[in-house]
Amino acid sequence: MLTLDGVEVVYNRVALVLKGVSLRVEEGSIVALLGANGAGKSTVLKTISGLLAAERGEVVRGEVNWQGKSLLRMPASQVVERGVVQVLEGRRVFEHLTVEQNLLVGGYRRGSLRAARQALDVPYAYFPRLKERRAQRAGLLSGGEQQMLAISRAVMSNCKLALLDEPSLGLAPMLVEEIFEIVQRLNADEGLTVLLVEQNADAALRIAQHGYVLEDGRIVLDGTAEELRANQDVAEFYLGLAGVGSRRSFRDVKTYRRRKRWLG
Amino acid sequence: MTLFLQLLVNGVLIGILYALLALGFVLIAKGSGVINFAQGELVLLGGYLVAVLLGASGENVFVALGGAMAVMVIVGVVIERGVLRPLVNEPLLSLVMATIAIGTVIRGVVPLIWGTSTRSVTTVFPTGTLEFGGIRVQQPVLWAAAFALLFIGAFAMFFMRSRMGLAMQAVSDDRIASQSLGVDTRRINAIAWGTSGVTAAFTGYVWGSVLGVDPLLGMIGILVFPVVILGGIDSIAGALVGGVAVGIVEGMAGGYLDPIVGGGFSLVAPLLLLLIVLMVRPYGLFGRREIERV
Repeated sequence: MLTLDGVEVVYNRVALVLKGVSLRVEEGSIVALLGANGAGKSTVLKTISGLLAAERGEVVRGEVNWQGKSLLRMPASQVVERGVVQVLEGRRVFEHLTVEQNLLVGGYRRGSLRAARQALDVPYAYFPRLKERRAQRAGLLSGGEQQMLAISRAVMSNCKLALLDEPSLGLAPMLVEEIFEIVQRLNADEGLTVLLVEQNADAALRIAQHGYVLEDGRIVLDGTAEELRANQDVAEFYLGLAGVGSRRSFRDVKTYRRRKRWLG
Repeated sequence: MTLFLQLLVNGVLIGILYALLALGFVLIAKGSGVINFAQGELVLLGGYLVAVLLGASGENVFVALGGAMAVMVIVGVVIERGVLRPLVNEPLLSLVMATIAIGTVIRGVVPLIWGTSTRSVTTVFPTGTLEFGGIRVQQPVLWAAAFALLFIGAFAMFFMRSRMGLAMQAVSDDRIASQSLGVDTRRINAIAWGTSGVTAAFTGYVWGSVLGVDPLLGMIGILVFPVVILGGIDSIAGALVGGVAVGIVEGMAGGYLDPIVGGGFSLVAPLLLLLIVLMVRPYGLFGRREIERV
């Protein structure tokens, strides 16, 4: 199980970005972390994966535990060794390497190139499209394929907990559906635990069992996916469901205030 | 016709030696994304170490070369740890300025320790001249080029076929993404600088055995820059092709044009070639262009 306890993160020693975030992710589950731009979602993931240091961020308070061991102040390479891998926002494939080379770098922590080669079958089974394009330069793949590659790279590292940062970013709805469906299968068949950061709350809540809403560095709401879907504010501001069929005006002060609170 | 072939052969051989020099740049660029302006000075240091160790070991080439490589690995790693690691996540310009500073320091310190007189490096290669159908080849140069080619080939294999080589390319492509996959980027950078040190020692030995070792050897880093840019800063194949191209152009210009213009054109010709190539392909012949999907 992954637990965060009252985590506070400061960038550049001045900017307090996380103001006491606590959450838990049970092994074998998919948990969604929702929130608007700049709420601190990516920072939560970087805090877990150890990539915070590269951006001059620092955890000043709180605890991060994975399978009973603290991940705080652990370099990213060791966090990966423990089976926790972050799939970065914006895909970040190695553009000048081929698809297969990208995957082999993903298997870096397996210790040898041969071990990494033997592991190639797993991502290829879930993403047959990558197998077709194995010899192609990753920079030439479509956005959806690059996202598949980014997720596959994490799978190659033998991860138990995948931290997915906005996998739907910039993709067509059909592709989002395809990718989320594969994530769900990885979860069911390979026992992959997923912490999913998304702005696309609708897609995320469809595959997640549990969700948290992050707002301005604080968790303001949490519950099962059904509870969140039923919540009026979430439905209105993240799912865009409220007021279907009826025109509403932003002059309506009450709506405006509530919305402002959501979007910070 | 004989003159043409003679110039061609000379050009190819010297070009391979240029490629060996360029390899040092490529290793650092590929392994850490920095352009190392101190590469020429590292070669200078490597050359002196070989020369000094040759004297100390009673002309035993294996001891001298092995010793120089070992020392240069340490030099490379120390530079990475002491100078470049604290500058990680700083702008590229700061890193480049730092390498220029390192080069200046080495260029100043080497004559302080070993003086400025030229030292000869005894060659293990057979001396004398071979002749094929009127074309004469100096044996030491021929052997030096052959070993340089082997050395370059070994590194090309290393980059394409090994786990470390792949990781190095990944780090130069996207540092943070590599980190997120558990690649220890600091270790990879240290390895890049270490291997670059080995290359510098080997290059120092090869060039020293052809030219002799003196403080001017450090300038070779600047002279070989057209090769590096021509081939593309991060391609080993590019270094080889760039080196041979520059060698041939230089040789031809020296053979045909120098008598007409009164000498010196062979120095300018590679730079002219560089200008033309840069106009057509700004990232060099084999360098990676930024991939943009539309």
